[in-house]
Amino acid sequence: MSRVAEILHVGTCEIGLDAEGFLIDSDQWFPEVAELVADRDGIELEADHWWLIEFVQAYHARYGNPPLMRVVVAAWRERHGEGSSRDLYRLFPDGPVRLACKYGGLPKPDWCI
Amino acid sequence: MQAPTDDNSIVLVGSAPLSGTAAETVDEASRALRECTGEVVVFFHGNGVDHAMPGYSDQWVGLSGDSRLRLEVCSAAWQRRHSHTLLAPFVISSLVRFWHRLATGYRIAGRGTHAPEESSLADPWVVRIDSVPSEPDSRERLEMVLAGVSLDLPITLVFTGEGRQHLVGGWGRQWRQLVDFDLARVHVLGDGDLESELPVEVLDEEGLERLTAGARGVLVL
Repeated sequence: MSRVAEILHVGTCEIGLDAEGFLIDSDQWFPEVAELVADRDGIELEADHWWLIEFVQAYHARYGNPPLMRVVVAAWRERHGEGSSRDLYRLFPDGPVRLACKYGGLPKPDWCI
Repeated sequence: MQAPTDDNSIVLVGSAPLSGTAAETVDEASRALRECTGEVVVFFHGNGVDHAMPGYSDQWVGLSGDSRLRLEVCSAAWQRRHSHTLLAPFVISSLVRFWHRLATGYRIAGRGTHAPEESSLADPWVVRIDSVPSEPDSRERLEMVLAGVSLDLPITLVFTGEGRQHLVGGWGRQWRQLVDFDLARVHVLGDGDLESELPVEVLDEEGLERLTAGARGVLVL
């Protein structure tokens, strides 16, 4: 398990983050945590951001790992009728799935895919 | 003079150093160096990354005198098991790079593998899983498959023998994504009495033979 590098104060809650801003304990997540962590990265979460975060959270809960980009792109197309990975990178330029994990309180993906 | 590089091979090592099949892998790499005129990549993944540990690496280091040999270690599997830096001649690599090599023409060499003389890009890679599940090895086998499908490669998975247990109970949850999102075809070898919730196609030995014969290559995990 990662070590706590920082404590984030959200209301009366103290949230432990690792050195890259991922939650140490997923159970501490709630929507305001996502907003605050994203805001620190200069991102204001809007409807499509939330769709992506919730999609990745649901996938992780069902299968135990985050989705592949091709899975997210297919779901995005189902939602919008068209689109590509470029649309997802517009939401989260530093890695759509990785950042959806970060803001969604999920562990940092540790695989080399 | 360096040999032409269009005849390259890759040897996959997923077994821990002291396991039954591990001893064969050095021989397989030696054979590949003799028979292949290009580069020979040995890719260590899962429990196989421990071959790069001091105490287990001597035979590999001995082979590395041949400049055509590359000893590549899966970065994720290494970092999950070890906090220290990988030592030369081993180098960090990735599952995606492994598949990219296969997709660009590297031949698979080694235990139970099959590389037909002729195949087309549309032919599937067959991944055969025949060993009992354990953590983190089971998840890493899935990651191997996910890395291939992330490159849009056609992959057909066959669970055989003790490997069928990967589809039962909690183990089956992670593999289900392959079926739910049509990422790979999933088969099981046997009589269909497997207590799995996954909608998998049951194969008999003849069906497996047909599948293997029509594959672009077969990997055994």
